[in-house]
Amino acid sequence: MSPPTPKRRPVNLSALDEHVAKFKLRSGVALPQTKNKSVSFPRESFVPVVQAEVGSVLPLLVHRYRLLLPVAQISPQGVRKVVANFADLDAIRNTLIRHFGGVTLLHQAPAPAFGVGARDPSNVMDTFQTKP
Amino acid sequence: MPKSDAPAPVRKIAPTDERDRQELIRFKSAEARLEAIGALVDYGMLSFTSYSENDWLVRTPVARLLRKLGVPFEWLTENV
Repeated sequence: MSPPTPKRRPVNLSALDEHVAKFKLRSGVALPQTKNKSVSFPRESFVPVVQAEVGSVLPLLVHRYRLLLPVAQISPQGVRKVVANFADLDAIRNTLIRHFGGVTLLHQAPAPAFGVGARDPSNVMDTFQTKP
Repeated sequence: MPKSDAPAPVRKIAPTDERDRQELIRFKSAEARLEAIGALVDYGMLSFTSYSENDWLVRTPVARLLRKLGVPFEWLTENV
């Protein structure tokens, strides 16, 4: 992979944090039979509410999503521009682990998807980043 | 010339040389993880599952390649 271009915008996943602000207990716990009404659990006992309870005794509806992460943009002239570097891959991976509890990465080369850059869906022909 | 009774030398094969199964490997730093990602992308072998930042579940050939390339990691299931 080519080195990233200096002006490349680094990945910023902080906008997702608000969706994982609520936590739940990782697994059910038996409350101690004491008169003390308050209980405390270590932070590691909690996971985001969006995380599926895989392994639960109850049947669960679990969705599997496939995310496509483009790592480079190649113009028709053969100029290759990196849009996601290894640190971005690692940051996205760590975020998915933190939010959902796990992730599988699969690098597909050559890329199964081809395009001509981001464009306005309401005006595709006039908004190509690179002219086809 | 008398035939030697000594057994023919046996090539030593590491347990991981021929197997292909799920392996658990652990990195000690983010730098090592990035080095591994870069190496595996170059070889078209970036394929793993993670449940924590430093632990990867990979197929045996991936672990073998990382070791061959000198990427620092701990092979937790090497002798299991």
